[in-house]
Amino acid sequence: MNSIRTRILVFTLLSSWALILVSALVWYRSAEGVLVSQFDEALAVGAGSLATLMTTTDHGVELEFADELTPEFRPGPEAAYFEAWTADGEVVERSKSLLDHDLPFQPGKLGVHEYWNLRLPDGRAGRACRVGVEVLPVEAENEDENPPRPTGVVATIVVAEGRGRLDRALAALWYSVLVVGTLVAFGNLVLFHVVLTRGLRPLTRLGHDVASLDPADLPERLDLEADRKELRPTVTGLNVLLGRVREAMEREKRTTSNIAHELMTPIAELRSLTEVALKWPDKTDYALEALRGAHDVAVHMNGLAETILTLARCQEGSLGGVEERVDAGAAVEAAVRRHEAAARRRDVRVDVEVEPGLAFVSDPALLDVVLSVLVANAVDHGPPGSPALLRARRAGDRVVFTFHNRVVDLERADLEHIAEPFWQKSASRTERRHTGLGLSLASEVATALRGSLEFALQADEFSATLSLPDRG
Amino acid sequence: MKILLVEDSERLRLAIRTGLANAGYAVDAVPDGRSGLSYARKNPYDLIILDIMLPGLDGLSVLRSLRQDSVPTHVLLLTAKGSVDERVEGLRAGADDYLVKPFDFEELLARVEALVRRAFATKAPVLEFGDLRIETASRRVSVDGHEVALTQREYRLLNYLAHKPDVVVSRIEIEDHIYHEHALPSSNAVDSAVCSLRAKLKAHGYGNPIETVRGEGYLFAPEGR
Repeated sequence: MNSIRTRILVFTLLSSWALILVSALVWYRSAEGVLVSQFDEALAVGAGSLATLMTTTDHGVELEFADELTPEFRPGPEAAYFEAWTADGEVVERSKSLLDHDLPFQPGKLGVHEYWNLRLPDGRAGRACRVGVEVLPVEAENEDENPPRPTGVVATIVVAEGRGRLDRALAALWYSVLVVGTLVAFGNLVLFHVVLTRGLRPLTRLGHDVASLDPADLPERLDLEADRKELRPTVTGLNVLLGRVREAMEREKRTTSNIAHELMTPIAELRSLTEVALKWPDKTDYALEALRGAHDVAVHMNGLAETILTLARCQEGSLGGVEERVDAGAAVEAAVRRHEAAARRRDVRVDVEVEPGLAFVSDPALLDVVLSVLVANAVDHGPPGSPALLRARRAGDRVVFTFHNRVVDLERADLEHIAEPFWQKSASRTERRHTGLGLSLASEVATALRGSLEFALQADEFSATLSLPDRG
Repeated sequence: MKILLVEDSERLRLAIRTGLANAGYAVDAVPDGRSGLSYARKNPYDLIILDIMLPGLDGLSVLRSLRQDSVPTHVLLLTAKGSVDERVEGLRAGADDYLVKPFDFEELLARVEALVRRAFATKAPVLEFGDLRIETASRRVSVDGHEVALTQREYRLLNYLAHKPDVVVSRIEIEDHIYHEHALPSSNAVDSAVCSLRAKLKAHGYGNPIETVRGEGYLFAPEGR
């Protein structure tokens, strides 16, 4: 039962059917009680009527009974029965319908009506009422204002009647409950099915729309029943997720295209260099030149592969475990020194401002990687003759390195892609020293160091802010 | 035949320039779009090999500028990106052919030859003038089946003139099409090459196919036409 609709339908139906069953039983029991008590009341009235006809005389207890007034006690297919006894069980009177049978005797309690089911002498199922009555003597003429209450004797009257009418009424009641209950249960099935189908339609549509999403052509957003309160968080969440997936896919496409471009050029160089050398093997000068070129390409691709490997290690979290106390000033100086020659060549002046005595606990090797990349970026991408500024300071429990340099053709929109692997501002790969991996590597290393790397652009000033925690 | 190569990769530039030169072409090679545009406007090339992704001015912009200036030179686009859209864009911008990097150098040569033939309204890769046979793909020249050993300069001269039979070609035009920009030929370099070529063909029993038109230049009027 994997379907939510089926599950809700089954549970709702079972619950409703259980409720219907319980209600029907309660209803039936109540109605049965009413009918039976009405039947019993009629028996009690019959017994009471008979009691009023009982008197005591000198001959004992008598019941002045007139058959012609109570035809129901005559023999017949639907006959009723009565029998009256004295306290010691002597029969006072019995209905003619009993013929030579007796009703079961048991002394009745005075004023208390007792009812039970029994098999009537004619074999029918019946119901009887027993009551103990006090039988008074016939009142004599007495002129006293307050004559003494005569002493009576206790007698027992049992009235019985066939319960065919009651049972038929109860059966009719039972069938009507059964029919109504079945109709309501079936009606519920249809109603719940329709209501659930209509009610779950937005969810079904959502599922259908999500299932039919084409990964190759994801829409901007899902335009669904966002007005449904229950679905709003889901649709909103899906749209946010969709946006991220689209962004990730676009990034992946760009990266793949950039990787292809980054690899195609050196491969094309290698292939052309070697094919020309092989086609004209007697041109030894060229062959030597081609060999040098091939070697340079191999070195370049080796560096590329190592950078990609480091990037992959950072992404899988296998780097950044070392914790040592690092002198921030010395680390920055080392990184700047490494790129001194390039800075001189490009006439870029690198100024360093480090808070005196700034030291913190981090992974020195990874810190060196990220600082070196950021210094190289500031030196290589600043226009010749421009200044670059490196600052390091403590901010609470973090150490913040800020790199400022001028840029020529960088735009604010480029900041979104600047840390993507292989992204380069220029589509051409003329600057073979650059692979477009530096800032993505720096960004991953910053994450491996549990820090962050953010980029900003103000007019022509580019800044990279590296914020690292002091793990000490 | 003179080709302009616009390619930003130094190593690729070296390989293509060397290969094309070995195949008998005079090649001018520049590393960026602006230089390429400037060279193409100034010199009469028989073919331009143009990389698309160039620093500064990209290849497609160079191509569009050339076509706007009505420069008719055939252009072979060269790029690392080879999607259908990019190829269509390149061809619609006025390119005559397209080659995706990395490429087989033989294929580049074949395409260059085909485009050069188209430039001279010739379809056959072999030019035949009676007993004289010039195979442009292999740079093989023969007379009556016997190979004639020519220098690169002599081959370029013969190949260029053979593509313009019965047309008077000036010395300057010949220089423009058989020497690359750094060659700095001497004032009588073309005359010297013509003499040498005539002598070699004559030695193989082929009459003089190159006539001197006084004050104007040379006329290729071979036997058997």
